[in-house]
Amino acid sequence: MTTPEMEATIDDNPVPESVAEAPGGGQQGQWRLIWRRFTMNKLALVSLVFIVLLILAAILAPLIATHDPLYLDVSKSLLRPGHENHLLGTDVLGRDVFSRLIFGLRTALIVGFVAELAALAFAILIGLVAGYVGGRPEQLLMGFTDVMYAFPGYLFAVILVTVMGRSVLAVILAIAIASWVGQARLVRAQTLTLKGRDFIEAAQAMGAKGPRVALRYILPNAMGPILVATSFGIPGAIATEAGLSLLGLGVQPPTPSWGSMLTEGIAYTQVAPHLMLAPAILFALTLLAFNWVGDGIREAFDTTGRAQ
Amino acid sequence: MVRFTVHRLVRAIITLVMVSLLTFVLLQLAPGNFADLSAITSGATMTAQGQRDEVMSSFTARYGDQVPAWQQYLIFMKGAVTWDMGPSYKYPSLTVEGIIAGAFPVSATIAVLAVALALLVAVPIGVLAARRRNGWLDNLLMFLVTIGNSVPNYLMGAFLLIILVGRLNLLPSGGWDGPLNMVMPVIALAIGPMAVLARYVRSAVIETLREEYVTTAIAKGGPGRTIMVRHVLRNSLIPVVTVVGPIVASLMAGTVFIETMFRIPGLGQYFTGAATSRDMPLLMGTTLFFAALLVITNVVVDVSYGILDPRTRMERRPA
Amino acid sequence: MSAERERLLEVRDLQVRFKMGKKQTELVAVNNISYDLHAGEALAIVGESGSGKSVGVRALLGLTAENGKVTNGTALYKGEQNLLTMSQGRLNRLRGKDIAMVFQDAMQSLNPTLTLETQLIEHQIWHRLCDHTTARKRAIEMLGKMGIPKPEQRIHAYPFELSGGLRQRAMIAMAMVTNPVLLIADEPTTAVDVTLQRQILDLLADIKAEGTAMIMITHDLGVARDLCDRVEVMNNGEIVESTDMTNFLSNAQHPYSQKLLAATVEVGDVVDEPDNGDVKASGEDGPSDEAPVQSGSVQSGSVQNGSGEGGSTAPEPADVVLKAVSVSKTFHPKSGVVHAVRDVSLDLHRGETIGLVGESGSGKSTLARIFLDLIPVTDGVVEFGGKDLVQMKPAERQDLRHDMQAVFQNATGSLLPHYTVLDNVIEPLNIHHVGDPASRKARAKELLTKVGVDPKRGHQYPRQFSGGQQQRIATARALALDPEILVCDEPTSALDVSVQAQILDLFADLRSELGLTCLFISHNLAVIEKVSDRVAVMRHGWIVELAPTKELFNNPQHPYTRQLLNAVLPVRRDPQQFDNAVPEPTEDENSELVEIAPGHLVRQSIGAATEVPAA
Repeated sequence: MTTPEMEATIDDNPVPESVAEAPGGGQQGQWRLIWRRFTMNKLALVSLVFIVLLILAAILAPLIATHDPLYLDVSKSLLRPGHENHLLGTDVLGRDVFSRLIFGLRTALIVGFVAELAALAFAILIGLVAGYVGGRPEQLLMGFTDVMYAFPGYLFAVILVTVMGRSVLAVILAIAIASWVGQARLVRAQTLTLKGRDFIEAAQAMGAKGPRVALRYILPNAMGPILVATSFGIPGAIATEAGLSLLGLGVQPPTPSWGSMLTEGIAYTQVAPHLMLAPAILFALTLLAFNWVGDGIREAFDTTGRAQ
Repeated sequence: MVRFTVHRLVRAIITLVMVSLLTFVLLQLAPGNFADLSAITSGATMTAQGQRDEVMSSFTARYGDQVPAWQQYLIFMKGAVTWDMGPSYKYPSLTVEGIIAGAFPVSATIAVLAVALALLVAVPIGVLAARRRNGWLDNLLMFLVTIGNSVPNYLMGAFLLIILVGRLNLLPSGGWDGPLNMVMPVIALAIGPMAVLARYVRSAVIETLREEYVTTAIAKGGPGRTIMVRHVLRNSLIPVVTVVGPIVASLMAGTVFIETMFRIPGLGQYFTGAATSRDMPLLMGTTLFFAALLVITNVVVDVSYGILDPRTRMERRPA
Repeated sequence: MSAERERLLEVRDLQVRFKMGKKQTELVAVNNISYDLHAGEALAIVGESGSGKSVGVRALLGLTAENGKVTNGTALYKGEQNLLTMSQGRLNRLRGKDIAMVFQDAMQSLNPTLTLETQLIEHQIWHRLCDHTTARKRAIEMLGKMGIPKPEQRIHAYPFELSGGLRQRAMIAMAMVTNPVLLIADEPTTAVDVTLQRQILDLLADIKAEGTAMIMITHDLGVARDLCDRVEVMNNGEIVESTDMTNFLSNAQHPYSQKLLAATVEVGDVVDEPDNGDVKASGEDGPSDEAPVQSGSVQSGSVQNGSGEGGSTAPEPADVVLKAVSVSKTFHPKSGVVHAVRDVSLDLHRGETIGLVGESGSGKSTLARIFLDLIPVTDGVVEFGGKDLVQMKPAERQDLRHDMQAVFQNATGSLLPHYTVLDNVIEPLNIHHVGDPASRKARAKELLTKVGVDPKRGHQYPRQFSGGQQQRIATARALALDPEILVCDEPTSALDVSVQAQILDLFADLRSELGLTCLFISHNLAVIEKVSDRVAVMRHGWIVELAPTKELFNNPQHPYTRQLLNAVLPVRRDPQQFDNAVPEPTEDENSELVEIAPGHLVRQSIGAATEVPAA
């Protein structure tokens, strides 16, 4: 319960250290300030380091993997972790679980990043136009939104994959198409909020015109929520991909995917629990890391936005 | 209010038509139909040649021979409206509406139990966290909520399987024979909504606690409990209704994975099966049914929000 | 004067600390304040934002925010019970029964989802004052007593179903229904218009007359003067002066009190001053602190011709830089139609300042936006330099932006938050491609210096500046393009009085130095009087009266103008008699502005005899 007067105090006397914290001029300072705030959240920072390691592991997957993830050897079926050079054991077809996990990571990150970034780029374009210009683009977006409200992303993705096949590209497209509407709505809402802010009217009174207002004044101020949405969108896309694989609709086997590894493990929960445990743990940690980074970004921007 | 409800219903119907069109067009674009697909996979599946012919003949019986796509769509939609969607391709002995009627109660049971569980846990957690905000208990609860929020239900299901079945061997790993079969699916499904709700309740309560009318009530000398119930909880829980829509949506999607994972003969299973085998009528039917459920939920949410909050009772609430 | 009366409250060495931000920096919001309150007495606690005036009083009732703590002091109620240390239960028996409180905004302090009935009855039951039926009866009685018509019906209403005035009354009724000994009012009229403020204060005066003691927290010395016997002046968490009201006004001792009094702008300050010597042509006048603005005869002489509007001929066109002819603006929100501006004709002459005054919803800000070409008119013509705005080519319109700049109320919000202060001031030069980067930067630094902001701080962000400094920066930005016209929309309304005075001085200096033509919008009559050459009074979208400043303030004709002026609560003078009845709107489609004296236009009904009242 902050009394109005205390809030006034906060606003009237900006925290002294923020004066000290802002080095140099230009927009560089703004981002540096946000980065510093972000690093104050240790969990977010550790998560970010973890994600960077994951990305490195995915890039270097062929070097890290101890075996060919696709190599079958039924004679070595269901080996326990640590046996015969198999760090995390083997699956029912004798494939190395660790190597499949690493290559599954590759699939997950490629799908997650590419699908999310594609959806985001489209969402920013449409959302900005719909929010700033209004009119036809906005009606169209709202129409789409209505439909998407009745069509949960997962279900839509299932149908899209059914239509487009099960290549990595198709899965990425399906996920991007199924998820852009929500993000476009977010960008639109942000744009609308910012459009109503006094500094936009003041800029228009100075003579600033459409593209300048949209790209230089609105977009930079919408970056916070957009970045937060991205950091929640990537794990969302990863989860969708794994979910599709779980249903047997994800990337075509035998390409390793965490979702199909989970499904394959269901039958052996008692005999070989590691088949499920290994992907489940890495999967969960990955999702959590992205979420914690998202929380960190949100906090970093939140404090900046306090006085605005 | 009546006008608002009617307006909402009209929009809902338009939405449903759009969903059906979208699905239909997409499925028309799909390479290969059911017949081709089952021809390729007939060796591996139960669908034998005879059955395939039977399906094809029932298809022509219903939709005619060589009819244009838009006519097929109209015939299907007529069937959907009259609750007579004809036989499924994959299960030729069953009608689409029969499958839905049989499978929906199964999915609904899990979903309703999951919502109940989520609410029962989330509301007290949210309130508790709000009252102890920024204390260690709040931090712990919100940490758990983040986990629940970021881990998809099937992954939660996987962990439950590993622990309750793999380690402890307490429960059957799947199937649909008795109440024990419900435990894991319901928990796995409930975790997500639980996290969403708890977080929402927490921030709503915190926001309400900051309202001047709560300060006013305290200044009026009200007992803490009365103020909490009458002024804080009441006003914080009204907006919770608005999250019901997204939660129902996530539950529906959830059932698809959970039912596959735990081998439960619910709607989600049939939806997935229809998608993998391109069983057009069943896929259209289940998709439309899901969409209708969601649309109806959203209408009910909008209307009931209007009734619960006196401020919106008079005016139309922007959607 | 109240020494013999019972001592109701003795506050000694009260200290409240807050923990702020992530680093939990300690901040002393209230530092060892002490004061007494006697039965039946009204005490004003005045101070600017952040002075701790509200925190200090709320702490008495245990209403300190969660990050705050009372760290020292006692507060004896009736000489025996210490409010600060008593148990929650005992405090609860006092709160709302003996000591009641009303807050700034009734919309926020009444629970939106409960009817008045519940909210007026519940605490009577909590305090076991009576049974439910009696409580209901008392609630209805109290609503009626607070001037709410048909209380037995209105008691079933939800807060949002009442008008702002009735809501404010209902909130006071809620506090008074338990018949408290002490009423604490925390800025109870800050959020409302002047006429309503006056009505509410009259209501509080009645309550006081019946013997209820009062603590009034306010930033407005006029409000304090109107109601209170004693005053405690707070600054930075400390009481700097504690005296009775008459003594404070005539003989304030502490420099801060003196500063506060001196900074208070009020109606009559300008009119009362002899202005014979003031001659102003086009701003060769040097800056002057006391009376920077002229209402002199030369200026109004030129105005007289110009404002012979309402259908008559215009003066030499070169003289009119901005002109509105029968401008209307209608909005179509979801529910119904809003006529924000109706049939407004107004000329802005080179070098003059027109003050636009009116209460919320009068359409004054909409009119400003029309002039700024931010929203299109529904009807009528706006001419800039003799050219119709609508028929201008885009390039011409862009030039117009160049020549007309604006300063808004919310300086914090009107500056680009992601640009440094220097970049903010440079931005209009970028937009209009004036000069090269180096010259733009030099110009911006020069402007910052001119408005009194250290250009060395140019690399910092707007939020790192105080509200007053932000308004200075916004002004520097508005001046960057060397505009001819400056539109100021409530530029000082969000600022504390001392800061307001500085900003008004800055405007006065700039206007005389640069020869700016100004449209100045404010709800504050005193500010309008101080800055304007001519004043237009708006209500419900119409201009109801338009006259040279001195004429308008000395000889108001329209009943609404009179009511506005009567409602003003001066600090240095006695308030005028105030008639609660809101005058019937005379403005409608069947009315017109009639010139009753040279340059003095009043809206009258068509057909009504054009009687010219004795001036």
